[in-house]
Amino acid sequence: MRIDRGVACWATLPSGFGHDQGTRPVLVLSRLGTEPRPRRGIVVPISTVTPRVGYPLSWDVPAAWGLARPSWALVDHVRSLPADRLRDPFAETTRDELSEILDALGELLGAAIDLAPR
Amino acid sequence: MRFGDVHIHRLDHGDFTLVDQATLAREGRQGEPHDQVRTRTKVERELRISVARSKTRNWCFFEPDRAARTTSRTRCAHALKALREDLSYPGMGTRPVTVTIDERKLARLDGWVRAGRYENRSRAIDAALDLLERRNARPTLEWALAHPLVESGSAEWEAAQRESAAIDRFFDSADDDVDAPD
Repeated sequence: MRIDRGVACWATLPSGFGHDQGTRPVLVLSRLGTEPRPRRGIVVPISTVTPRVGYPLSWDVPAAWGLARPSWALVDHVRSLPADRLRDPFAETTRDELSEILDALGELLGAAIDLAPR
Repeated sequence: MRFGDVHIHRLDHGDFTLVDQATLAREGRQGEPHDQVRTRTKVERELRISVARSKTRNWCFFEPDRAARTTSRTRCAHALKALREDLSYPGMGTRPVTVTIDERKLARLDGWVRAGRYENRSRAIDAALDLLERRNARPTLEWALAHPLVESGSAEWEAAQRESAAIDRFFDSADDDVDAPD
């Protein structure tokens, strides 16, 4: 599995600042598979702590990813990271899952299509 | 109509359902308008479906692998839509309509068709409507904020706050390490 859009992997800090805070799982949202490779990747962190608010601010990670505990991708924590900090991919979203996450981001940015009265 | 035949009824949203003879008789609906009549055997053979009973009527269920049956109306509707598209029941469940579309958008639509992304204009619009349907079903930001997952001020709320701060520190550190001036 190559680190690219829709892939969950680990973000690392070479120097770290705590025993268990030197790595975090993240989900990559930007395209990193191109050549030349972009210097930075856009990611959302994955957390096992129940977020305060659900979708579209967070997204339930499917059990199929095989994480030990229920986890959420925190869409509202979207950040960019140096691409060389990303390593050890461990799961990949389906096309529909990625679409859901990108739609969540679109909703937060106000870029989602205004579909119909709810 | 012979015993064992099924009525094919279009639903409002473009999918269709099959109602068998027994159900029609039980509900006194023998004379009800329908779109097509097919024999159940033929329907089952051609479409590889089975008819199962719910509270009000017999829904048809798609069994692509002859294994698990779908049980929800939504999944059934999706399966039927897939059937209609994949197994080419000509004209069934579709209806020609006249719509007005901005010329520039129509040009883009035709471009997608020419590029082979969609079989024709109808398929492209159908896909767009599916997309809208999926998106409409999702919570909005306003709704999500009004319905938090954890109670404000609770231990879980505090934990989420701490996690949020830890994530920010983590990302900030990643940037510090790389982007700090020499």
